[in-house]
Amino acid sequence: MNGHLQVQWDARFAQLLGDALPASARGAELTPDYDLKKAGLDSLASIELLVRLESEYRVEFPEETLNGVTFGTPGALWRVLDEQRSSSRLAA
Amino acid sequence: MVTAIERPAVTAPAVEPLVLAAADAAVRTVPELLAAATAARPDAPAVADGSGVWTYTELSDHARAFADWLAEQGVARGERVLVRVGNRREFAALLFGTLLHGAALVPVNPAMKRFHLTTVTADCDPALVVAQGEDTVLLGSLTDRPVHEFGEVWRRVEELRAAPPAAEPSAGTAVGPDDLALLIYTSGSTSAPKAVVSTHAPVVFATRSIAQRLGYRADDVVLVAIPVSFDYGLYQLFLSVLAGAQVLLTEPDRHLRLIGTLQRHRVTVVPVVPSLAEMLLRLAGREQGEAPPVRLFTNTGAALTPPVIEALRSSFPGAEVSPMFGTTECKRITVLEPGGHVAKPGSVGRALPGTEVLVLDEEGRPVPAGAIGEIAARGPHVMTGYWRAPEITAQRFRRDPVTGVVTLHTGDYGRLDEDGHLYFQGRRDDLFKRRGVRMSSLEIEAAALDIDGVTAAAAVPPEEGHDLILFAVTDRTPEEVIELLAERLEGAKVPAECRVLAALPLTPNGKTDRQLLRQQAASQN
Repeated sequence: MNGHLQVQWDARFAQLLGDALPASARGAELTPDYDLKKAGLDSLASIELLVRLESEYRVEFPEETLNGVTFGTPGALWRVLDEQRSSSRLAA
Repeated sequence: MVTAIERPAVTAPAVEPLVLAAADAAVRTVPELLAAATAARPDAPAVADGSGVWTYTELSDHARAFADWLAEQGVARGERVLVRVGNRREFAALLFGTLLHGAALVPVNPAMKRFHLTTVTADCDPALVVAQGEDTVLLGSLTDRPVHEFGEVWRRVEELRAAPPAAEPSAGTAVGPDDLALLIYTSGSTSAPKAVVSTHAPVVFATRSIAQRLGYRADDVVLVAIPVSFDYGLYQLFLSVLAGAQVLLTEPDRHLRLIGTLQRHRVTVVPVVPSLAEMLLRLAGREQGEAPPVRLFTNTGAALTPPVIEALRSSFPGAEVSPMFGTTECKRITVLEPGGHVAKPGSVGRALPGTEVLVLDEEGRPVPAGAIGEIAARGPHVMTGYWRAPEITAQRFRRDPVTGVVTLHTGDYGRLDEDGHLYFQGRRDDLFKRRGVRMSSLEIEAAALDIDGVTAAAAVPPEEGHDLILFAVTDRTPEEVIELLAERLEGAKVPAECRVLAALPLTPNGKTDRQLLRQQAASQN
């Protein structure tokens, strides 16, 4: 686990992430370290999720964040998303 | 994305001298294919991955060094070399090196779990295994044969490459067209995958025949995002070498960055299955600026619908699409030339040059144009059969007792039109495709029954309205069953959902009522 204080995600994020998971994982509790790959989040679902998150939050994930680590756990994904929100707010 | 206002006319590719050279009847083995390309284009890029690119000379040198390594290990001609290293540059050296040495390559998907690996390692009876890192431990537990760690093998290969060439070629006499080249494992109507056996002759023939229809060029960069353990991915190496072109190998975990990859490497040819096409389209939708220079998408595995074809052409202006149909047992059956879908919507093309495609009734007689029947193929592309499985080989690869001609019965159903174009309809047995991957309900059910506490299982293949579902009789939870299936099967074979029943519904004859299960699958969505 990383040292910094993890800001909990919002309901929109939880909804979109939950929708991306296969039916067999729908009821699961989304903890920050929940293994998304093991839960069945494959390439296609990751890409769908990426596009929806970018659309919903009006951000763009930089290319270097597009990898298995970012899409590995809800915590990692939220951290990257949150960083883009902050930087786009600063840029505005 | 920039969309084209006007579509440039599709022109026939210039006939490359290299393709003509390799069309020379003297080239009948895979090593000869590589030798021809290396002689013609020694310094041209041949194969690349995330870590760099090799020229044809470098590829040939590394292949030769791996062949020398196999000789050092005492691997004899005709023996099998099981390789599990994924989509990386070095795979090309292992492939061409093994075939140069006269051994047969058994490429295994890194996603294959212990459940099938146990059967595969025993079945192919390898002389040795090459695997990466921790994987050597798993494979070591499944076979008595030597399991070599890839990194260590490669260090030795580099030493051999730097050493002065051996006085005599390591393989003795050169490999011939009837020598064993490949064992490619594929799902069939048995509970575990069987291997389709290829000698050099049909491999080279199929490569040349496909090339005639698709027209890969020397300046092409071919993306191989499909695992090289599938014939679709593997043959991109042969097709590219035949043209003197370049292959770029990528792994599934890099799919999120595909558009950037296409741009950076100036990819021109992208073989897809529909799910990969979908991924590319979603990713393309978030890009501004110029589209990557893709000029050709090929497709197989499942049908590309007209809207998806149009979306590809729109997001990648300048690209044409070539739907195809095939089966590992003969590599490919039909190819629709790029852009051919306009005149023949829904067609998967005509038979490969030099081959025949037929549609047969239950007695094995050709049906009239337009009638549905079993798709069959004849020609020099038909492979040898299944490895050490004479019964199932005889069922599919049927030799005419009088003429000796082998007709491959695919078990796929479709129709031919008046012009010889094939239209695929479906299957009648429990084999199907999901995300471009071939599998059988039996295979999935066998994996489910391997789970402690699962007493009965029935898999319902994906259809309009629902994805792959498993009905199971068990005291475990649906989530547990899925998790345990994921430990046994590759991702594409893991059902989207498990539904627990007290018992599987039966027909009056006491067989599982699959019809009813299909209805249940469709209704509860």
